[in-house]
Amino acid sequence: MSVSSKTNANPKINQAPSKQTLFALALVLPVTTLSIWQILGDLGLISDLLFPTPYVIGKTFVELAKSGVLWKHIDASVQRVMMGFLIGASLGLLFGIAVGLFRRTEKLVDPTVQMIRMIPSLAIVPLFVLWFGIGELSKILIIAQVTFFQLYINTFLGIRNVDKKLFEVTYVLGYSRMKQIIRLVLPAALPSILLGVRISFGISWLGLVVAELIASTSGIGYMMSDARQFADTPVVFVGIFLFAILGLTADSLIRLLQHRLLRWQATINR
Amino acid sequence: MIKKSPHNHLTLRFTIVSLLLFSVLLLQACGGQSSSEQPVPSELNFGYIGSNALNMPTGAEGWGLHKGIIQEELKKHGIDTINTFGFPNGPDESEALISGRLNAGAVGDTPAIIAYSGGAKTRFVGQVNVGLKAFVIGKKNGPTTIKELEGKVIAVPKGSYNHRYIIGLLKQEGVTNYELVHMLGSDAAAAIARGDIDANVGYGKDALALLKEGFPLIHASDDTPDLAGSSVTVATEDFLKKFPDFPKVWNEARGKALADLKQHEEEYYEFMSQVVGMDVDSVKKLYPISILTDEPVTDKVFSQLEDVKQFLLEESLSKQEFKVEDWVAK
Amino acid sequence: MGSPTNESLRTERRPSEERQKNSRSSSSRPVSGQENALNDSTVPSASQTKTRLRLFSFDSIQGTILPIMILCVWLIIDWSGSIPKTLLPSLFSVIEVFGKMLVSGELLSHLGFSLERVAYGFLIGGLLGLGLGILAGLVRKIDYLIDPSLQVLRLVPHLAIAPLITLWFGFGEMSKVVIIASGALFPLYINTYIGIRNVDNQLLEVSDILQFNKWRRITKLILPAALPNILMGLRTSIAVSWISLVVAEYVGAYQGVGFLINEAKQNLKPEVIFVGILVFAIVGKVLDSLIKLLELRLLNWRDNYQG
Repeated sequence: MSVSSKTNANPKINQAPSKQTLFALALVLPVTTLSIWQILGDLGLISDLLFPTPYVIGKTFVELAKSGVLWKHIDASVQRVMMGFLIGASLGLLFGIAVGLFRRTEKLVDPTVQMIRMIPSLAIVPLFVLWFGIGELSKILIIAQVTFFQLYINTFLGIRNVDKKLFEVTYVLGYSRMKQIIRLVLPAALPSILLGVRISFGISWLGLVVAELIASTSGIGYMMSDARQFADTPVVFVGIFLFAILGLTADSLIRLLQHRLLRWQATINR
Repeated sequence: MIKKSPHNHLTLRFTIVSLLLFSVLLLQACGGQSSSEQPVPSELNFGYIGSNALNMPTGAEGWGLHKGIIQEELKKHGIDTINTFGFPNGPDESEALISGRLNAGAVGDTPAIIAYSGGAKTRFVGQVNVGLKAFVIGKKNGPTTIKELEGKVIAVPKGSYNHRYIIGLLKQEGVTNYELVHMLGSDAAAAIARGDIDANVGYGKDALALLKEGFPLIHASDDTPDLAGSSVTVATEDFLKKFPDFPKVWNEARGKALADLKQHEEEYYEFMSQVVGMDVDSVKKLYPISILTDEPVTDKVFSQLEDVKQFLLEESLSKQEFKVEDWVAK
Repeated sequence: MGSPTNESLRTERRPSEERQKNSRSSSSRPVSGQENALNDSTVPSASQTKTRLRLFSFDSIQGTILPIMILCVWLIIDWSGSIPKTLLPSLFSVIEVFGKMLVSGELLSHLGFSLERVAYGFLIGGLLGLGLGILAGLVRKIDYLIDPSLQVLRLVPHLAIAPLITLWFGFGEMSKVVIIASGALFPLYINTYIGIRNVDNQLLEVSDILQFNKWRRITKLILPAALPNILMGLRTSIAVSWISLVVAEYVGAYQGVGFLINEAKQNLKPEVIFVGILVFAIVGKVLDSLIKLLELRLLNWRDNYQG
């Protein structure tokens, strides 16, 4: 295949715009929304108790940051998410691999896992409190639980999505079971697993919100629900923005990891 | 590189911006106002604290709505439908009032005052009841007096009258070191069973259930009437603009309902037992008719509100000072 | 598949029809011990072939082993009485309340309301997510504009915004549906987007050789190739929609399984909480199995690893 035919056939591949253009384009939507929001708020068209203007939110953010309260909450939440995510993700990966590779394990474990996956965390909070108390443990476990299910299903399906032909190649090559797993199954399932990591990381923040409803005295979720008790809506929005910022940072890190690990992949993206 | 013609670029931007504007306008139309543009509203959205299948508040309001007495009165003034909404806790209802989703509601004095001082556009219409029960229940083998709560963890529905009650109690007993956590219902029951919290402040079915299970009673609100919580009816300024006579009409309707239920005490307790989900005897203990206010708007009521307001200000639970008379609907 | 056997591999090779039957039985609902007994009664009929015996008895039963163990543990806790009844009611009282609510029609009525909300929310959010994912996956310009913002929005827990949604959209059905939709949108969006973006370049080259025009390339190649991911997104989406019910029905709702649980928690009715949990688990599993069935139908052209 000559280079020129490749260019004609897949012009998309050669058209990667510069990083600056990408960044600018990404900002179009948020900046426009924020400006419209600010204008509507200043004009008094939207209730300032329901929808504080970006300026007010920014001011509140700075106040909280200066008083040091913000960092305390961020610190508490990030710690919980980290611990919960690590526990949940590793267990999810383990179970996902076990169930994905072996049909027998799937039959034994999967139906139960699917049923428990569909139970809302809020409903079992009393049970969690009963078994694990109101301290950090139950919060971390709730986060771990939501992370677990997400990564479990992505790993499981990722492994099942591996093409059988690839397996036949390993039969031909005479791979042992272990080698088969390490050299074929895991790398082939890696895109799905990493996608699972990205999604489950996002979902673990969801678990954080639920977890911090349990007798918390710190954390972003707590900060938000406490503000609601006292009708302090700007703080609620500060919390929302914090989630967005923190989540984005972590998600970008995972994407970087993904780039590194999946360099061998040749898809539309590259 | 494929050249993007300026024409394409512009049209794309234009479409995006107009789509955005359109969606924001749409959102705002859906969001903001719920009341119609008519001069006198035909619908009243009324909130209350509680969660029951009947979807009724307690007290005279509940009885009046259940029997249709209040609806009848309000119909004379043009309001055809009254929709009721239950909320788990005071601050949740405050939010709804602030957003205009509710036109009026019965809510605890503490959340009502906190909301108003925070800038909510609500007005006081009348007092609903005074002397609401609340109980401080301790964990098994734990503290037995308020003084023993020094350095302990206490669960309370934050922002409600129970919150004010426990803080007042602790202050009275000179307890300065403690931790308050926000927990309701089953969560608090689980925590106290485990002993993770040392005391729980509850007021309804959950409190009674815990007492039945043998958890010790540390304090009952009846013993400190000055810390008693009360409930008030508030209405939004928007609604009052459309219907300025609402306070008078509402209080009259409520008065009628109150008179009626006093003549049908047993039936009232039956009704209440369905609403709060307890047997009639427990209802008589926790929600006696005596707590229902006869005169919703009196100087005594104002001074009670003033006390609550001062207390909340001192404890930094409410943000700003205000005059009770400014708050009252004219 | 006459591939050389390798003892250490030991993959089970069954004919494809058995495979399909197997999958259907694995999506059965292994709940109570009674179902177990029913399956057991098929064991003695030795006239059936060995393969069918295997399918009906051991395989379906396997799924019920864990739930039965959980129920046994529950019974043991009941018997020891170590946990107060206000928190972990006895299994029998839960079954009793469950039966009562089922017979009175209450349970089905609540379920009906919830399913309706989930249906609307899931359809709206899911279709939006799917549509946006396809657009962003296929069209670069749209990708650069909306993907960053959507990724950021995805990372804000929709349950944290739920109170705000209730304020903006009122207490009616709309806010509940919006909360559910906001949860359903993102899993489907990101899975669709990535599914399309991950389509192998070699497949694209093949489509060039076959001289597919743009439309054919999309419908015949890219979408089917992205389908496994899309279905994965679908499963996550429905789970998130289902779970969001509790939060969606927190305020301003008087029917629904979410309301049931919320009200039971507030008024300390532990049996009802567990009835609610059971309903969530069972109906949720059914919903998930429906998607699995869909997956089987749509993806049976695939030749993939079965374990």
